[in-house]
Order: sequence, then C-alpha cells, then structure tokens
Amino acid sequence: MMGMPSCREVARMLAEGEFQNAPRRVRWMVRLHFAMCRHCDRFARQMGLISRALKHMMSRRPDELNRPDIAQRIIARLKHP
Amino acid sequence: MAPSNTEAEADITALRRREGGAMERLVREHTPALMAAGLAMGFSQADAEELAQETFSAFLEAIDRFESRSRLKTYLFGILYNKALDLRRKRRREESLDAVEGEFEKRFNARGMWASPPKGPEDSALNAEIQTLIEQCAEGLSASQRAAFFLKEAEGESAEAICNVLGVSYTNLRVLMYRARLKLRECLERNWEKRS
Repeated sequence: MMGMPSCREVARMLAEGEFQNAPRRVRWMVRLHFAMCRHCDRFARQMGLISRALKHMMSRRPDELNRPDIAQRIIARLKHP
Repeated sequence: MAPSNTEAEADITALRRREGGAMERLVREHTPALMAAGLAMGFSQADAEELAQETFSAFLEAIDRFESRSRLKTYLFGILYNKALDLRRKRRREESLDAVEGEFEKRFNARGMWASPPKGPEDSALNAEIQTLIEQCAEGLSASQRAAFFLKEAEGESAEAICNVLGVSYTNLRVLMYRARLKLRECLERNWEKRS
C-alpha cells in the first residue's frame, strides 16, 4: 500500500482485524482516509461495535455456570458412565 | 485462582495415578470455562454440560498422552471443540459456506470506492439495543467462528493457541474471523434498517 488506500483496502484491513498490526505509516494513511471518507469511518465504527459486543457477549459467565451441582453431576456420570 | 505450574503438574500426576479426589478437582476447576465455551458456540445449557462431560471423559482416557508442557485449559478446549463439531454434525446442522465475501466485493466499484456504502449504526457507542442486535446476528456464525471469538475475546488466547485448538493455519484463522466480522456487519445493517 504505497499511497492513499482505497475504500476496499481500508474495509478489508478493518474486517481482517489487521489495522493494529499494520505499519505506522499505513495506519496514518488509513486515519487520513477516515477523515475524508464518512463511509469508511462508519464501517470502522461498526467494526468497533462488533468487536466490543462480541467481547461482552463471550466474556459473560452466568452465575449458574458456577453452580456446584453441574460439576457434581458430571463427576457422578464420569464415575458411573 | 488458577493453580501454579507446579500445582498443575502435581494434579496431572495425581490424575495419572488415579489418586482419590484428583478427578473431582479437575472437573470442579474447569467445568465453568468449558460450559461457557459450549454456550458461546451456540449450544444449549444441557448440550454444553454434555460436551463438558465428554471432554473430561476423553481427557481422562488419554491422560497418559497429555504432555505437561501443554496448557491444560487450552488442551481441554481443543477436545471440547472437536466434540462440539461432532455433536453439530450429528444434529445435521452442517455449516454451509456463505457468500459474504462476494457480497462485500459487490459493494465497491472498479476503483475500489464504495458503490453501495455501509448503512446501519453510525455512532460508536455500544448500547443495549446494538448489543442485542449483534448477539442475534452472532447466532448465524459457524461453530469455528464462535470458538475463535470465544478464545480470543473471553479467554484472551494468542492467535497461535487459537490455531492449535481449531487445527487451522494463521491465514485460515484470519479468513475465518474476517468472514465472521463481515457477516455480522451485514446482519447488523439489515436488522438496523428493519427496526427503523
């Protein structure tokens, strides 16, 4: 990516989750692109929303998972299959 | 609190010797994380419990092959992931290849500029409504995609560890997550338009 990246290149990099790993110069060009392109800026915001929502969703550990009776049932079935 | 390496090795030795209480400690310590992984992959609580049990069972049967250098939790996730794929196959919920990449390419013109710009939420603040919409969309992800996000987001595993658990190369993992993000964004856009 030599000059200003195209919208397709920007969107692909964001969807691949590779923005943070990109060289500093590329990240700078992408940020400049955001300043000029509201569509890519919106795409980037949505990628951020998706990432945060997934983190929230996947990290949720309902208290019920820590119920001792679940482990107890598994132990009983392992002992007496 | 997670046991230290020395404690973990002592636990494995105790399991290999079939010492009393070792299996119970293993199950009590790892059941919540395995259950969470099963639920994150889209299984019901009952299925997640069955998967956790089968994971322990397979692990205990093959414990002599377990190398103490491996991280026990990651190793258990690997077994659970394969059991989950088996269960899904049994249920005939095979994952079909999606056309999300084709849809993505169609959004751009020959010069790589947006021909069909993204719609949907514009704000970067995550509120309860958007969270719910994305969670509904996540139901459409494949088991591999869900497992990859669970390991990355909830367990904080490295890309290398995730590749080991899923049995894929780094390039494949990148493609898997790329398609998942595109699919979620397309779905979010559709659902956002429907609601307004």
